[in-house]
Amino acid sequence: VKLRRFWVRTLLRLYPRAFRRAYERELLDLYTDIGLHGIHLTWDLIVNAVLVRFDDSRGASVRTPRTGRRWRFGDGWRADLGSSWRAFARRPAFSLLVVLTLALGIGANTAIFAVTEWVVLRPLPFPRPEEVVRVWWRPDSFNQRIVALFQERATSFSSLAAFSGWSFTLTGEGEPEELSGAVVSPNYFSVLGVDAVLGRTFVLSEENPGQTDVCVLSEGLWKRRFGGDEGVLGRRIPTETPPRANFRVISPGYFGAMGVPVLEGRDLTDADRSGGPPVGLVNQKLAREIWPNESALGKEVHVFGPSGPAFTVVGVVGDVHQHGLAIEPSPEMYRPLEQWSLGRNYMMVRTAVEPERLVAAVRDTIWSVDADVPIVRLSPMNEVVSGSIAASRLTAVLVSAFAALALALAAIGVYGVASSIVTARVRQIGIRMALGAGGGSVLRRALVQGMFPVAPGVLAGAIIASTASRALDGLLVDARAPGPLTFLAIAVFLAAVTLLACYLPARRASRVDPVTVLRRE
Amino acid sequence: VADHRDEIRALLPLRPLELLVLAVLDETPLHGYAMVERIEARSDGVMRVRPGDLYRVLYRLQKRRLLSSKAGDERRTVYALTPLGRRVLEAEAKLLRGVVAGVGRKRKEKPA
Repeated sequence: VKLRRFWVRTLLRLYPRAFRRAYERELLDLYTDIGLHGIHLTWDLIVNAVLVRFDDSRGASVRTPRTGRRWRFGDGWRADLGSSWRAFARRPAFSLLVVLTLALGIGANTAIFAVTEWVVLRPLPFPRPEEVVRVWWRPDSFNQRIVALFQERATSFSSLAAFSGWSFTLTGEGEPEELSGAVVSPNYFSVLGVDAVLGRTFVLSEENPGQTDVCVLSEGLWKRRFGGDEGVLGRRIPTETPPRANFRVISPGYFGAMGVPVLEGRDLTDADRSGGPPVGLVNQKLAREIWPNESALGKEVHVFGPSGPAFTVVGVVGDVHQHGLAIEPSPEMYRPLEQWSLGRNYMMVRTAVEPERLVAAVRDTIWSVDADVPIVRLSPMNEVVSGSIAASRLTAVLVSAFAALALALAAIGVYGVASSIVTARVRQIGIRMALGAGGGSVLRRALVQGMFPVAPGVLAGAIIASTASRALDGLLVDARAPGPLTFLAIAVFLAAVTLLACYLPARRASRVDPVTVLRRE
Repeated sequence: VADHRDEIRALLPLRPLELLVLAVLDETPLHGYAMVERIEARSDGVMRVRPGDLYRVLYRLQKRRLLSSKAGDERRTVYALTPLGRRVLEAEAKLLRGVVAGVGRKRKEKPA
């Protein structure tokens, strides 16, 4: 009860004195009578303090002393501007500090918001992406009946479209090119809310079999490959659909070129041809998952179920980050290209010269064999690797930039606090020196006084940051939260900034003639 | 009593809690806790009055001279309507009667 009395009295300081005098005792009684306390009491008193103050300020009309008319916003802004400028000119260093802090703060906020909006809020090129849900389906169990069933029963969705990623080879005109695309249900574009920039999207009757020889091009492809020609409408485009599969079929010399170690058994050789006994390799990950306690060599592997085609494991190879450095290697098997050619094929070329110089030669060699083979991309392995880490590199650069900005803001803030404390004591320092204090002891004193409020802040910051980063640790993949050394380094850095902030004005003061300082008093 | 018509007009319409405070004081002078209880009873429990809200309104009404206060028994202060307060309450009641006059009457059938 005593505590509540104290708390209510404290909060009542927010009210006009007349209010406090008239109602303090009654309010206390009433809170006790109806049993309102804690956060509700606090909130009640704070909200009403604001309302009472607001009401009071509206009731009394503020009049400007000279003209006697009501004060309006914008009055005397010239005078305000002038006095601001004079204040700025009087303490340029301090003013610059303030401006810099504001600039960094506003800039950082804008940048973070812009990046967040770009990456998180608006990453997709169609309207209201938050309303769109994507459901993955295993390819072997997906068919038209399931789509129909969804359309009939899923009442929570306004519409439903089906699509399956596919690739097409554009042949006939110019260089053959492999295009990524999708086979889609006719309503695909209307569900996404995207319309054609030229011509039309699909109509419902085009869903029927035998009507499927129509396509919609992306704007990018239309402009790049067809020069943005409107005559493309109605034109027949020759394409082939390459077969697709989920696993890797390899060509004679892949491992030699890639340098993947054979850990057990043998590598594939030229002797593993079509017609020969079906063989294959598995990687370490797959071998350990399926045969944890025995050798994989000689085991028979059936693909696509027990009745599917089978091969014999002749070797175990090391794991390869096929899908990007940040992604764990998956269980994989390798078949000789001659025994099973499926899907997209890759060719590895090892060379002593710069890879870029070989591009034309490699392309011409391939097309001399078959001019309709599309070459999707020719790229040096370095680029393939750096492409896989480009996204995380961008994130890392952004996060580092924001961290540097935050550190700069902290340093500026700490500098401002410490130097203003010491600057405020310049006169005191002068008086001490006039009374005979030595320069050294005065300087030491100033440093201690300036450090005093900063040190607990730095300590608290370090503790909070290390706790927060430990919580963050669980969210990081393949990266570790900063260790104690990082926090120590930052604390030391900020302490050094503080020391400098105290030292400069204190030294100035300790060198000034005490008489000059006292005369100013 | 001087004619306060303009002053009364400037005070209308009252805010809900102001109206309720004046209304319960119209019957008899009351202290704070009694007002809270009566307001709750009179509004069918809809208006749960918090102390901060009540005294903000008392402060406002006293400043506008609609209420007077005097020491009652048990150290409690008792609040009562001033003549101006009563006239404001009556003006507000008239206003509200006009506002709610049609409410609750059976509606005419809408033309198709």
